[in-house]
Amino acid sequence: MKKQNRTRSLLGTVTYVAGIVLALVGSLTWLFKETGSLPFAVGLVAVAIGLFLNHSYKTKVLSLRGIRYFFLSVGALIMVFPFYWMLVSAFKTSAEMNLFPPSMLPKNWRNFNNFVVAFQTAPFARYFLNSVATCLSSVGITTFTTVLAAFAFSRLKFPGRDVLFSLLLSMMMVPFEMLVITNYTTIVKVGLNDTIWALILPFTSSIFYTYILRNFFVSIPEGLYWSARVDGCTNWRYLWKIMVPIARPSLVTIVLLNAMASWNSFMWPLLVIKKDINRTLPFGLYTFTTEVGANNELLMAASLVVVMPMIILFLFARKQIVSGVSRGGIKG
Amino acid sequence: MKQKLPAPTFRKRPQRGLRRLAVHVVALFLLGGLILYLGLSGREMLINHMDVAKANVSIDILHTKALADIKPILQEYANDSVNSILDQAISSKKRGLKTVVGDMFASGSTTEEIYLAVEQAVFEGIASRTDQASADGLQAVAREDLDKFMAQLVQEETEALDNLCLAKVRKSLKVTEKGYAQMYYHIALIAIGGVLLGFATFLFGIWLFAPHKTKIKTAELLEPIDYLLPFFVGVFIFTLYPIVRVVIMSFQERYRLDGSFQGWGLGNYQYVIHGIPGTSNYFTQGLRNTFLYVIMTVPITTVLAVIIAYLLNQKLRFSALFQTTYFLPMVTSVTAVGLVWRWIFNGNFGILNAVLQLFGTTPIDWLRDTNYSMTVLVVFGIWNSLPFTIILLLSGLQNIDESYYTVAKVDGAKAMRIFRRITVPLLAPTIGLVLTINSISAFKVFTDVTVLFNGSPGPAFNMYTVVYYIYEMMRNRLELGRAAAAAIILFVFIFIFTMLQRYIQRKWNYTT
Amino acid sequence: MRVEMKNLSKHFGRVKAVNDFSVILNDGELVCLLGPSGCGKSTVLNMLSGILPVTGGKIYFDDEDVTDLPPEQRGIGLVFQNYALYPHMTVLGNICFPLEIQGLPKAERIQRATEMAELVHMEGMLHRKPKELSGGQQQRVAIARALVKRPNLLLLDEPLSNLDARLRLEMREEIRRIQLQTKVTTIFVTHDQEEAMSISDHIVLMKDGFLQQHDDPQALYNEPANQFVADFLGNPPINNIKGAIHSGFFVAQNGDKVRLPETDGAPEGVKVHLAIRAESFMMADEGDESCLHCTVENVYQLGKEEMALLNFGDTQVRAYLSFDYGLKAGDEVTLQVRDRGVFLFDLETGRRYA
Repeated sequence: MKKQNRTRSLLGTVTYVAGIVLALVGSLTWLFKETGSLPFAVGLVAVAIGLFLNHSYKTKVLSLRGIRYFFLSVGALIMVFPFYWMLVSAFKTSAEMNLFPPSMLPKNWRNFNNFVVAFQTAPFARYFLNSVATCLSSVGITTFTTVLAAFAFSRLKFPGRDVLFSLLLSMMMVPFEMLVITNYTTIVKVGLNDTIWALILPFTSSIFYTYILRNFFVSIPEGLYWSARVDGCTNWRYLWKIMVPIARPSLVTIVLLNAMASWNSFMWPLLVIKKDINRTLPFGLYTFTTEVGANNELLMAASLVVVMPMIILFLFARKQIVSGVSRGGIKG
Repeated sequence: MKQKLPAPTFRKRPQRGLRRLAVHVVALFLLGGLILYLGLSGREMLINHMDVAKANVSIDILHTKALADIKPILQEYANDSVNSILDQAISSKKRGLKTVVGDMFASGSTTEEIYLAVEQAVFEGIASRTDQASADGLQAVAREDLDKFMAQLVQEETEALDNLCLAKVRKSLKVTEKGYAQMYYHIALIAIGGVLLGFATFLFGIWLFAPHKTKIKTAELLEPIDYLLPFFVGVFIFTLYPIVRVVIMSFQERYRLDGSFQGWGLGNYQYVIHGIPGTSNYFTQGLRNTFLYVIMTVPITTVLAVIIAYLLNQKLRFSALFQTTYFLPMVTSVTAVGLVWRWIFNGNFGILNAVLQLFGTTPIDWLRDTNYSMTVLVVFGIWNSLPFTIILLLSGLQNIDESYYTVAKVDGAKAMRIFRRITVPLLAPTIGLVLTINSISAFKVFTDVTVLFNGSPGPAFNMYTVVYYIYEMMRNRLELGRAAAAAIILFVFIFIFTMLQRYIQRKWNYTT
Repeated sequence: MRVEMKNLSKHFGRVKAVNDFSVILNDGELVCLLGPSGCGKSTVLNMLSGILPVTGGKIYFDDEDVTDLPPEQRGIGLVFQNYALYPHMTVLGNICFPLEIQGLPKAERIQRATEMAELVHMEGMLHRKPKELSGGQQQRVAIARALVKRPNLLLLDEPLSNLDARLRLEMREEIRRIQLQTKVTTIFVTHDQEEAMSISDHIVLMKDGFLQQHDDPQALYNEPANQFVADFLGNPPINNIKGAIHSGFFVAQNGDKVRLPETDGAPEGVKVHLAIRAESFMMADEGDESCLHCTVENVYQLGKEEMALLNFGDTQVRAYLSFDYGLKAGDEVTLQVRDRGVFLFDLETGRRYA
């Protein structure tokens, strides 16, 4: 009795594995040739038979896990594909781009021509500089005001503190699309239209980040503050020497999120910037499309340059960004 | 053996509060003074600028108007021969007259004197073309009317002339945005400088006259103000003031960039909601499109994200790799990625059509065929909002205590039952949150449309969205009042959604 | 249900959490797994429930080998330290859930759940949600949920740790009452010796993964197997005086002598601890050579009795003494020890000689 079971389970495992292999091969061939459908179907049947012969706990778990990996991998491929496509297209020549069906790989990975032309056609270097300058200034100033304000709302006592804070919270709900109208006229009236200040000044403070940082400050025990005060520590010193270092993870997250938002902002520069050399990267990229017409390989090269810094940042700071987004999202 | 601790010593420090007060007074005086000076000097420059502009315009007006006024009087009295040369005479003298008028204006001559000089110049011109006698004769016969005209000029026309000048000056200054802007720039500086100085004086008063307690109290209040000021300046100018302004603006009909508007009323709202009778209403169309977009994107995103988050939550290998791939779209600019998707959706060369061809279907012109515009937008929207959604849901899943699963397993529950009866209910608040956030974002869709369809909202304007309406009203048509009304309506929708979310979250939150 | 663990061991890599653990628990008993943190008691419980796989040894439920069985097939009820009540279900829903998994029809589910709720005195709260209940009430519901499927074994992991002191008293009596009423074999884990002593039928005392003693509470208290058991049980902790054995006497470092009863193989001159319970002191008679000379450091009033803190050589000793003596700080006293509550342990190994 036992021996029969053993052969049966062995046969089952073999059929199961063979079935999976066949199904995979079949599906791949099917992508390119009609004949692939047969091995695919046979493979599926084999998998079913294999499972039937050997439905032990382990195969079930394996197959379940297999399905999970499969599904996740397919999804991951779909998510990553546009970036792959961007990368590949950036190195293709114009002729290669006009192939249909399109090729999966460029002929020559050393073809930097697209980048060169793109940079010559539009002042991408200048756009890059503009974006960097805006990002650094805006994020820098915002961080400064946020730290100060969060400190004031958490540690300093003054009349109306909590009322003021709840008022701020209610303002957080207002979408930027509504404020845009007045901000636009304000900028125009003061004559800063089409300058870099127009990109920086409206973004020197953020209620959202102040809210997050203030909550974090509140969670730092008050005992720390009073024992420092008793030792003669001033508020300023306490803030920068003690609270900010403790709140570093939260601050890093805020800075990262702010930088990402600033780098990727599109609608506001679209409104206030007119002259070409004052444009930021995403906006410059967008106008580039009209100048370049159908030469999509140039577009892809330019897009690649635009997304590269953010991707690199993400690869390095993934955990921070993810935890920050989830924390911020749940609060908001 | 217990030893007595040495008596504590404290360094006697000067009262910190008083010092702070004094420092603030000095700093505010200096800063306020500086800004006020800047504003005033700029204002002076501006006034000079205005004077010059006014002068130029005045000169222009004067000399053309003078000529235009005198001509008909002369024409009445001139005989045919003189009539024919009248125009020539006037045009020949025109340029030279301008300098003369300019000089006279600068030296402060009255309008009457200028008119007389112009008159004289015209007669000279006639004389140079006929003969002195005819010119003198013409002058003699027209003298009475000319005098009458001059008298009238002194009384009425001078004032009308002034007004005309001023109107033209204002118009010319508005046309040059820079000049117009500078008026507000300097007013702003003067105002700020004034406020600071006023505040400095107030503090100074306290420092001089107030009792000690009040001084200390004020000094203590100064500290939070110092910390909050940078933050609040930005918030006030770019958040609080706009909110109030937009609400007010929405009730100012036909509000324009220069500040003029027709009157108070609900006209903007009416225009937005009803549109121009007879034509299709862009706003309701935009609303409809936006709604459709929200309904199609958000549920699909949520379902997919729940499944993916659930899978990612299991202990798998390569989880770091999977996380990177699933979260990547979140950090990249929508513009850049939009371009790639545009290329993917390309009707002639896009890879999507290539894949479809493999399966035997005919290629579709995704970006130009109006039937598929929504599909394109929705696919892009889902792809963009998945990472953020997955992150939130994953966090929600991880907050569910492991022990719930263990107890259920010990009681014999299978995976499906656990998922249905334990995971999903405990995940419900997070799902609610996700639905709300995504719905609000989807409502504000704008960049996606702009990038995918290269500026136009859809191949036949069929992907018009609410925010697009606001943008167009503001940027292209400069109808700020209507844009404001549309923005308020948008805000109302978002507000309702947010309140709904808060309510649902409170109801579904079992752990507090 | 009779539970037998044979040579049970659990290794986490190189860390040996449980070693060669062999214990038999009888049907219908309330047994306590007692010990300091990290002694392996929770590990044993988790192996019993099937959550942790076993590294070595066997587990038998009524002679059936359950060592490799998954938890749902062992017929056990489990109560966690944090109760793990499903927050989105009512009390009734929580108790019904195990029956729902078993596929019982709704009417029967509700009936059995209500019975269980009555047993734990929660029948009035069936429609409340867990967050509306107090700690003690939540625990009752958790116990009801574990018992509703009529398990053969009830396992509780530090059930009283999350409650405040007064509630702990009340709840441990409740657990005992429920256990007696249902006659379910119950094992619970705790580090509180007073808890264990007051309600268990038997106590299994563990240290560093090893079984120290398995007996009923009185036996553990009166006849500790080794130094550790004696130190662990009893409040205040047992007094240990260093010394050595010389010709039938315990000789302390300052020369005081105490006559010893039968010693179990104690070699001459071996260094020992004389372990004396606080209640085992009495004032010495005049001229008794077997006595201890101490000075009173302080006297504490404990309401029902008086406890004296005495200095003996370089150690301190706590003794319950009656009121009559009127002791105060600085007094010199001579003490004697009773027959009961006095033990002799090897200084190094902790082995008991007497």
